[in-house]
Amino acid sequence: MTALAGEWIGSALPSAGAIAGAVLGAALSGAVFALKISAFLVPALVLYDLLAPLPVFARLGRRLGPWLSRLGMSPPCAVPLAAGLFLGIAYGAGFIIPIAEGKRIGPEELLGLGLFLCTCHAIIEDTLLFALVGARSPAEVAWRMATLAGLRLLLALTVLVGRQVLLRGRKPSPALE
Amino acid sequence: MMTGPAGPPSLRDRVRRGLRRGGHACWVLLRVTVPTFIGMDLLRRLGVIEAIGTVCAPFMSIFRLPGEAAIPVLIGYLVNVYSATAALGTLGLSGGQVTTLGLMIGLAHQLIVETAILKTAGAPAFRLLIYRLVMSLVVGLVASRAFIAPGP
Repeated sequence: MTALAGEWIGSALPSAGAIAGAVLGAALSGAVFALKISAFLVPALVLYDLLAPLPVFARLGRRLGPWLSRLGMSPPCAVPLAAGLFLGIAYGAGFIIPIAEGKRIGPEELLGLGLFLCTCHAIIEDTLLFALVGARSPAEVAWRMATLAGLRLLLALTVLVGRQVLLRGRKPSPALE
Repeated sequence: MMTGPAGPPSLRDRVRRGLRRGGHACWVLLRVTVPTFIGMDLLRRLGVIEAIGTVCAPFMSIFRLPGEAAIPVLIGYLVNVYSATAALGTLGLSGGQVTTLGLMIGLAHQLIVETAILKTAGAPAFRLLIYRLVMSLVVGLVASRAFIAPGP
């Protein structure tokens, strides 16, 4: 087995120098890949933290209250929902895990929240990462990011509205103003 | 997670928090990408990538993807989006293929860690796990028809 593997490597990589060169080359292209993505990711995250506390967004959040109830969620769901949506489940865990302690969110709502967040979370970071792979221009990045984020958001809303329809058997009002 | 004293955080604090998060993401990315690229390069030279590709080709062709695309999907499901993106970066796929994979992996990733978090939060984590996997495959199927031209 080892001998076979050795022969195998031997046939593919003739010398130690070639191995070192290949490893170095792969490491370098990996580093370049990481830095290229970071060049977009870091400014995007700074911009998010800079803009997120603006009062406009708080007002927007209050305006979204009625829509939350239409999706089967009560106001206490807003914080974990926003944290998961923008920060992600892992980064937002600090906001998501405490909801179990207060018991202010019932099991039905918790499932709804879970369904939404599983479908659509970390909408900035995750979508940006995938949008950047192999993209040739900033416009392509923006377009792919909008596609990825938009589709996941749409899917999450569809799932929750669909669930409400199934639960209540009443007519949905999916027309988003 | 820290929540500062009452009132909105200062401008400097916000920038600092963003930079800290960005720096952390950058560091994770670098730490994950370099070994992934080396590993993928080595596996490619050994013919392992090709072998995995051949084995997974029938399944991945459902999604109009090459067999090797199974590698970022599995890495994404089990590890995280960073590692999956790194593996994806070595495969040289088209924009439509990356978008399809982005949706599939976006819906279901880091399943072990995230399921644990949801369970801790009291959500029905196992049902959500099944939901994510099913959704990932269904959305992948639909997205592949929308974003990837049929093969020869």
